[in-house]
Amino acid sequence: MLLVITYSGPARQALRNLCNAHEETVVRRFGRAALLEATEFGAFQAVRLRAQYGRAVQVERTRPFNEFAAVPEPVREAAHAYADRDSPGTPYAKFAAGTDHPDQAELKETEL
Amino acid sequence: MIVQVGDRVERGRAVDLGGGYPALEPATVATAVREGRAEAAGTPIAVQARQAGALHERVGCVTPDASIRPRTALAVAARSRGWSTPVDNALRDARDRLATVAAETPTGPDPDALTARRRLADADDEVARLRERVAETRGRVQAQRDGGTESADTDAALEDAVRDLSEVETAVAAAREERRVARAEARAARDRLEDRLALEDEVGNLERRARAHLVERARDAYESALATVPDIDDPAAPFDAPPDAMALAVARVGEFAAPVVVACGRFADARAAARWLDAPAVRLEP
Repeated sequence: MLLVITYSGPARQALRNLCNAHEETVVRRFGRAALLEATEFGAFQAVRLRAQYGRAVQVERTRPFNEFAAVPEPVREAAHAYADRDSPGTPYAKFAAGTDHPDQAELKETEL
Repeated sequence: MIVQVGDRVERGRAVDLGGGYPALEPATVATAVREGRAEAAGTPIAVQARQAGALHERVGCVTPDASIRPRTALAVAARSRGWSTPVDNALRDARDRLATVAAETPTGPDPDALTARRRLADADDEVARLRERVAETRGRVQAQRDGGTESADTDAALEDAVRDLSEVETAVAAAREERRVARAEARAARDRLEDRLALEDEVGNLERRARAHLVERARDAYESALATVPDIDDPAAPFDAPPDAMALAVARVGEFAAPVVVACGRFADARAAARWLDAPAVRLEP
């Protein structure tokens, strides 16, 4: 899908108008951002907004996120273990210390 | 004021341009009040009067079909009387901050990012094309070897294709880096745009609060003025009355230096209009 985020009043208004006029093209709207269908019409609207408002419009293409395809196993395991932790107040850095789970700093530095 | 239409001159606080004058568009006369001169169907109109302020833009030209936003206009009228609101300091401060941020944040097109995206897409296409060429040439070399018909030309073609591919792959790496830089810059610029948007919203909210305060404070005066507009039926909703009546009531609440153009047929002459408005007035036939 296409994620369109606006950063100025006029661009935000244009996106609002687009959402009202073309509900079938808008998957979801959030304040001054919206997810558009990955159709040529969705792309047409995204390119039009960017041409009109330039820097005040950000367009990103999203893909479905499959953790089994995109995320190394240790990271997945750490995520599940952390979600299941006994004390909800424990931050991850402390939770991972002294275990085999990946270090938080290391996670932050490693690109997917 | 001094009003000159063609070669006729009228002076005074109340000027009638009704009978005896060719029909003039009220809007043209209002323009002449604001800008000093205007032209109506070849007839020049010149007005010498005091400078028109923001209120004149709102209700300085009273016609039966005037479009008016009565609350906004009433707030401007209250300002014309020098009234202030509890949020004025915050509003001034937010506007100053916004002006600073706005001066620093470029909006509009971003040619560097556009160029970076195009270059990267072109380079990616070129890589795909050259990879195909390398694979195809390599296939030919192999087939010739298998058939015992090696050719120096085909070997050379493979070498060329491999070299071209390597060059273009270097160009792709450069284009990716270029795009990475453009994206990082865009991200920084959007942080500032976000600050600016938040400030714009803050200014908008403060303006609404200021307007609400002014309208509340001027409301009684406005309703009394509306009730005394000549030939008015008892208005059920004060902000949903006939537009010319609302404009007149707002104008009466506010203070005018420049003459109000009145073309609504509610006053017998310009003097009556000026007296009712307590402001200089030019009267036209509606």
